[in-house]
Amino acid sequence: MFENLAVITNPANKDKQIYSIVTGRLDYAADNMLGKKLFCRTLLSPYPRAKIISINTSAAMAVPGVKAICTYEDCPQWSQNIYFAGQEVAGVAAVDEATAARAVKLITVEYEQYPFVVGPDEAMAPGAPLVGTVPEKNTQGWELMRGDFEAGFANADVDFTTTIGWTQYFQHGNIESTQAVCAWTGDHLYVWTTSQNPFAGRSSVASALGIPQNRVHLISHGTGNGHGNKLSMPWLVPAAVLAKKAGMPVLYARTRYEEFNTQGHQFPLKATIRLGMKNDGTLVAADSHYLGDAAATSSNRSTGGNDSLRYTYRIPDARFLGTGTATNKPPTSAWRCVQHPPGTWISEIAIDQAAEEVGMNPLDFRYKNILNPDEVDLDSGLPMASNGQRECLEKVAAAIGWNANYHEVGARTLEDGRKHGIGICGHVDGHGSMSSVVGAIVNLTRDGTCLISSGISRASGGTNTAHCHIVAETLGMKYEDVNTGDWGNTDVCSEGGSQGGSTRTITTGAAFQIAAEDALAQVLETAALMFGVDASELATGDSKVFLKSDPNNSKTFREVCGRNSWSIVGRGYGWGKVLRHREVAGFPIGSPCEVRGVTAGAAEVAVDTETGVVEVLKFAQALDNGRAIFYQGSMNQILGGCEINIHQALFMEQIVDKDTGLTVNGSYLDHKWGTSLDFDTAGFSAALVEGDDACGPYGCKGMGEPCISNMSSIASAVYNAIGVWIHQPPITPQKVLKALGKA
Amino acid sequence: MPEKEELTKENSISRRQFIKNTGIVVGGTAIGSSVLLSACNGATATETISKTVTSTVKVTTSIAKFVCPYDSIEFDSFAALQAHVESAHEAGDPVVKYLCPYDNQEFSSLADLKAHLEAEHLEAVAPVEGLIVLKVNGHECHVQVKPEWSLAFVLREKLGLPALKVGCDRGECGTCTVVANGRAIYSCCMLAMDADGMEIETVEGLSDGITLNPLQQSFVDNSAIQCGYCTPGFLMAAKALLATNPNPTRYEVREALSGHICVCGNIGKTIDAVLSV
Repeated sequence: MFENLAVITNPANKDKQIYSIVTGRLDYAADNMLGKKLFCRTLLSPYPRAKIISINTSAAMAVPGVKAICTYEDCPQWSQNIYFAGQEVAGVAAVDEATAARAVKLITVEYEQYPFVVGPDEAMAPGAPLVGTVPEKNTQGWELMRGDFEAGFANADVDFTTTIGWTQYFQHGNIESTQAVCAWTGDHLYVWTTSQNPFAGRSSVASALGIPQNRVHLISHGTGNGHGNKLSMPWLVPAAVLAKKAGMPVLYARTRYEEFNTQGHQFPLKATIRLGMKNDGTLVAADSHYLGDAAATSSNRSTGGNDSLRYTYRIPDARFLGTGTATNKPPTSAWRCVQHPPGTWISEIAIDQAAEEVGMNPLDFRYKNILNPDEVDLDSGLPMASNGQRECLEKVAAAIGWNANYHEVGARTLEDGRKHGIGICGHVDGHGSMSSVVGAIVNLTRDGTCLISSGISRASGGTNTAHCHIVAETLGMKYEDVNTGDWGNTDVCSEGGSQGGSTRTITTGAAFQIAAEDALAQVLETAALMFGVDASELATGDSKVFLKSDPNNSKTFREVCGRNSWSIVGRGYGWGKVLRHREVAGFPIGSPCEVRGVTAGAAEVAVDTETGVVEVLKFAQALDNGRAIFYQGSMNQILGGCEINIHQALFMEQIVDKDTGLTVNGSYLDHKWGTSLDFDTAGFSAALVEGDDACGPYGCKGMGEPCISNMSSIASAVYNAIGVWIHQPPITPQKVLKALGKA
Repeated sequence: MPEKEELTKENSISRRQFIKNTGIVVGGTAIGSSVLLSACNGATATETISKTVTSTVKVTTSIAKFVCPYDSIEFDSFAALQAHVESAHEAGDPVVKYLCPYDNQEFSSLADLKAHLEAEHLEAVAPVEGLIVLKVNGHECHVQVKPEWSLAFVLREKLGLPALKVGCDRGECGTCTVVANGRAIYSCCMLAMDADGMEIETVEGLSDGITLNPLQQSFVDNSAIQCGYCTPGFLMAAKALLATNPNPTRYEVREALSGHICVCGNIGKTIDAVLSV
């Protein structure tokens, strides 16, 4: 399938924005209105649960240089009710940040305080204070039954139960904090924002301010990292309100401290997993109950934690439960999926422990129990589009030298005295499928080159570059002849969808494939007149149109497009549904299927038992993304995932004081991100597994989320080194020493 | 003076001043942070700043404009005119006449005009508070700054150089790194006034934007970008490293880049890019 691709997967193709990035010319939100804009600071609630009785801003407004102040009374995004410490109470726009900060300190607020709860266990306990973000009760349950799990356990030889968690609460740490510049011209609002969904930003602002969408002109070009934190944009409305009140452009940029206190966080999870096995290690039953801490968000469901266990392994009889709770902490949002990375940490540690229970090597246990490519999804009964889990495991095992390096627990000491260990994990999830139908525009210039545009932002590297590949391949053009036109601009682009769910290459890519086909039909129609043949007798390649019967008889795109006095515009939207390209297990081509994000990871660590420091010596990651449309971008995603797995496993954690609800480590240093001295990337490797069962355009699937779900391989390697499991990430030196009885 | 008191309470100044006073440099700032931060946020740092920041901003009320006789550019002060003429023109051309903006008397040299101002309009030649001179990417820039403005703020908002990005604005992430007098520094943690007289290099100065410099080209060749926001900071840290150490070892590169955070996870490719310049 899809052989002889001319553009797609070519390792030489560069990101279309790489030159503008290395020259510093890609514009991000704050780069607009330089020298003309005001700067903001916000007053954050110091209380986790309260109601604002009164706000006095007169002293703040009197500070020279202060131009506007907004509160919940005039900012429709904000509320009089406080659900977490760090919630925005008032915003000040002034000539510079220092002036705004001075003014913020002069705002006086009278609060009525209420009881609150910060810890998820406490929030789920009977009689806990109501968090307030969800009506009547803090918790919400979810259940999925598969077969008869009780009968399954009755049939098991080994019945194993483990409880793992809580996983840590942490902040996305987007290197460009959440921010926007807003400016009004008459009753038209101009917005430059960081975003993962520009059109959602436009509609939310228009709706909150009660103005038509055609008066909101929103542009999101550069976006300094997203990870899910910029899917919704609560910073836009206060920015627009302050700009209107001040009558001047305003930059509303969260400070790093505000970012930790007001923006999205990872969803902490805890689970009790019971597994039933035969003596030979065959999994026969599971009873898995995940608890989740949604913090102060309006949804408190905990459903995604179970996914890895559900989708990865062949467990015929199972019960999957989820109980989510709200707590009075800064809200959670998707972190490269809402719950898969911590959910997989838990389930993959449980799988390792189950393997040990039946005396099996963790890799062999996985080989025995993972679903194979031709097996159907056990819940929906539908076949899966490219499930390369076995191949991913094989690749990471080879990269890490599994057969040579795996040893009994604690059996190997390095020459420098540190303990050596290796670990492995796998992960299959529901990401990378089609999302809602979106649009795309392909514009052929009269000199025979091409510009593409869609309304997506550039939250991760390379998505719009991947779209250039799809368009070039479909049109039969050279890669260098297709370029990104505008993107993330709601005035000129078609709605491109949210950059979430690992869906943009596949979903917006599908729209681009259709748009390119539309443009191609017009090119052939024009060329048919020039060749004097029917369009069906023509084909394209290498930016030329030629006769199928005589490929040497050709005309360049320049000649064909130049014949018209207009630009050829291709328009596309769809597909929206996922169809098989290959017949599997009796399901014909074109029938529906489940799309799965598939990955595996392996780690080699050295553990210093004197200091507790864990060093990752090697980290290998493999990912089945169907087909790497943009090869360099795909490899960067997987290698980037290696680094993020380590950040999650060893460093990141936000600590909220249970007595006050206040964050105590709201900085990049204490809520640590690893740097180039914390691990050496020389030992990292990435491998692509290209499935033969393509489902998206040219056989692609999404890949953004699965590749950060392999952090449990580090926990597994630490166990292999020192013989103790650290169940609660991050694996800090203190936790290692405590586990070793040294602290 | 109420404004002075308010200034001394400003937290962001105290943090910057504190970090500056501690001598923190790019590289190795991600370690030992809790002590630093608790000190920054606590009362101690506030006291420190009340002693270190003593100047306040004076608003220039005069509307007198000093006009350059060569190109008619207007300046708010004699000092700015003098700096402009000395840097942009061959001073001493007998044809030009310098005009006193207060009484329209003509003078044949800057020195004569200055003598006249000192005799008749003393306020005009008083030192302009906050006027600093930066040599940015080879160009001399005169800019009047407030004491609390960071170098990052001035480079971006007052001198219009947006390639420099701000990630944390508190000395934690390295995104705002520029090269100052040959050394990589966090421009969010240097007060603009402290940069007076320094030679500053930003990404805008690495190339003309058409032909890349070898470091930029290596970032392209190694695909060493993702979202691109941290890239300018990494580029400038690498620039400072390679200027003094053209053939660094892998560890030296890791050390030079260790004051930087890349949230997309692109540190590996960045190290490869610097090593293969």
